[in-house]
Amino acid sequence: MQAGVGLEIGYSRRMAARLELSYVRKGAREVFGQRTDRLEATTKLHYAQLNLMPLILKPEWKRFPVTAGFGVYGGCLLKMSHRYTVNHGAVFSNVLLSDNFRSMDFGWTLSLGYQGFRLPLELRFEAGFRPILPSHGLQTPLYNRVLALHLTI
Amino acid sequence: MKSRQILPLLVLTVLALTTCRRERDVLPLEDYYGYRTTGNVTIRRLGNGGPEYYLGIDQDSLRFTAEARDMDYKQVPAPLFSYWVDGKPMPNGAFLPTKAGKYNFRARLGPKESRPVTVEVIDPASLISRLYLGIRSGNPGIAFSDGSSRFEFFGVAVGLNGTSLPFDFRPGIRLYVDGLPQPTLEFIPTQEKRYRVKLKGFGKESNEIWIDAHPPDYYVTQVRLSMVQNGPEFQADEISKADFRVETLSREGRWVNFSAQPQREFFVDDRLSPGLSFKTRTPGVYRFKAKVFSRESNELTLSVLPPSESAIITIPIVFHLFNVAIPQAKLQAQVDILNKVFRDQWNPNNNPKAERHADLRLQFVLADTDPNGRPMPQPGRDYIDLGRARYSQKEISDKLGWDHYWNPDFYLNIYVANYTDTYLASLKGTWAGLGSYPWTRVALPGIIMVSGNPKPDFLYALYVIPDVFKDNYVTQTVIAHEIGHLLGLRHAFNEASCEQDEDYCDDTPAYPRHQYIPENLGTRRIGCDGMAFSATNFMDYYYGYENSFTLDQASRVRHILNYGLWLPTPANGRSNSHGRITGAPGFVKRPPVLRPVDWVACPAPEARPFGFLRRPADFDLLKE
Ligand SMILES: [Zn+2]
Repeated sequence: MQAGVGLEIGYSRRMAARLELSYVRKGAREVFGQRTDRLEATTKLHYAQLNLMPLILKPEWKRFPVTAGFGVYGGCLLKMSHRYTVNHGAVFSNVLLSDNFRSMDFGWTLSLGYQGFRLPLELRFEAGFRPILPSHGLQTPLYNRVLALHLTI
Repeated sequence: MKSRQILPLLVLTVLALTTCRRERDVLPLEDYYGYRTTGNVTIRRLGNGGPEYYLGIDQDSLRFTAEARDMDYKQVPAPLFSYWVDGKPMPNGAFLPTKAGKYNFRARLGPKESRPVTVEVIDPASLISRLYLGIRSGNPGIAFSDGSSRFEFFGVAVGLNGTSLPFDFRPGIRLYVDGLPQPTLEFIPTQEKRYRVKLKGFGKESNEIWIDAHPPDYYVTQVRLSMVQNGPEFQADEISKADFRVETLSREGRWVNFSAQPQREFFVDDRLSPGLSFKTRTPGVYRFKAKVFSRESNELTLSVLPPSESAIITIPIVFHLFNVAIPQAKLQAQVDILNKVFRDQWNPNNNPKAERHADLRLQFVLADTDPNGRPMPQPGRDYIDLGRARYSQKEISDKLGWDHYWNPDFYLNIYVANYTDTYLASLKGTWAGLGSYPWTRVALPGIIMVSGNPKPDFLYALYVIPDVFKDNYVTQTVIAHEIGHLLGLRHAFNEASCEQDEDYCDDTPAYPRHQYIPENLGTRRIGCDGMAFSATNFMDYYYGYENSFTLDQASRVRHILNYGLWLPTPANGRSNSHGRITGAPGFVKRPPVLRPVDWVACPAPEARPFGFLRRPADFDLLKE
């Protein structure tokens, strides 16, 4: 879930820049296994996030009004929660874990928009530059990777 | 070209998705980052047995469990540990050793690893020099081929130093009969043949036992009944006792002790009697006969006299005090206690006594004459100053005691010293008293029998620590207890198991020794028959009423007084009833070679200061 406000500055009819401030909730449900044991974990991360898209292209094809943009973002971790269950047993929450996450996350954004409807739609992909959790020990470092559909009012 | 526009936007995400890991992929647990908050991990070995060594190869798995705490020292719920042995994963925390050596076991939770638990796995075969096979029940001299003989065997794994090993080797050892493995240590012959029985295990084979099985009547061409009685006169006092033996002559011309029932029957005055011993309260002439497979034995008769009091025997005591200054009054006080104990008068707290409590008709005096025939200025006192405070029991029984061994046909020698030996590691701490069993000229179960008049080749005497002279209920009767051993009584409890009543006295309920836990036992015991009872016997350990000998015990003691060696009894030429010594009794010299003795060590209560013991008033009184 994410919500925010933005400012768009048009360079020309076909080019613009955008600055957005938003609240973003990111999260993951993961399953870890060791032999027959299964540990299911749900992590929720709440960020205040600033997106800067210095260049948005709007080709203005009549039939197919699309936009494409590229930018960077910086997020500030407001809150995180972590719950897990082992072999479908009781749910436990780990409150100490938030200290382990990085309080800032930086990354890049790629956006594809469609303006053929009344409200413009935008498919956006975000990826962090560095793991949100210092990766020591983990075989697969944990990065923020978000694919989101935006609706602009 | 339009002017630049600034457009306010409200961005609303309809769909927010996840990190790029696919949801249902199962990731390796090592990647679970939630365990980063683990503070510490501890690992522990499950099950009994010492934590630091494990005896066994390919037998049983070592099992471990672990515990984890987080940074706030709270227990981590439902932790999924991984276990490691010498850096290799150990699934389910279990490890089956296949090679001897030292192993390090660790548990891991996330980034945290426990300190290792090191277990040395020992190959049992490397500790065993040989296996010994013995028979626990069944007489290999009489084996029936009709399936009615049952043999039970036992095995001993003998260690490299020749002693039996204190570990349980049974899982690795099997019984073989004629080369075929048996499921248990039991065997029942079913054919007329010679069976060869041995143990195999740990790459070793035991001695072989032969069992020659024949049809039952093979053993019985003739039946012989013989009798041993425990006194020159048989009185109807329930102390005088006769023990019988039934022997049969086999076809090969061998007399065998025939105890198998129900083929063996024993009759007293033509009435079937369950045991092979006889006591009575009714005077008269009794006839005894045995039958085996309906073949009758000779008949024996016994004249039972009206109950008269058996003679009171007085025993002079000498206390050899090795650098311990016990006041003369304390020596006399101890003799006064003995004179109550052995006359069935000791019960300072008026507790219930054993149902068949008995007067042993034995009394004691402090010796008034020394071995050179000189009157003693302080009776019963032999102070020995060797210029040091502590002695080992071994040096006293091996050497020092022999320099002061007053002729035991005249004196009961009691060696008092601050002993250094813990003697038996299992007793945790020191013993309070140490005794040995007598030798006899006429058979008594559990007692060595000799003929003639041999000199002692071990220091037949008592050994006690000075604390037994304190005014403390639990230690006041230690000397009485040790005199009980010296006169042929065994502990009232069973040392090993419940297979037989080990003290040969039916009226002292047997219970397994491991039940004797001083801390919480009180006077309560659960007997081998499952019945609860209160411990009253002097031959039990401390936490009891300590106020009774029984009639069966009286019978054994009377037998030793009649036939035992090295005691100042009429049987050994002391005819007095007041313990006065005439002549110069002299010393008994140490023989060049001493007999190794299994001393009966009787523990001091957990080696704690005696003053801390509970008084009997606090003991749990068992309500039955
Ligand atoms: Zn004892």
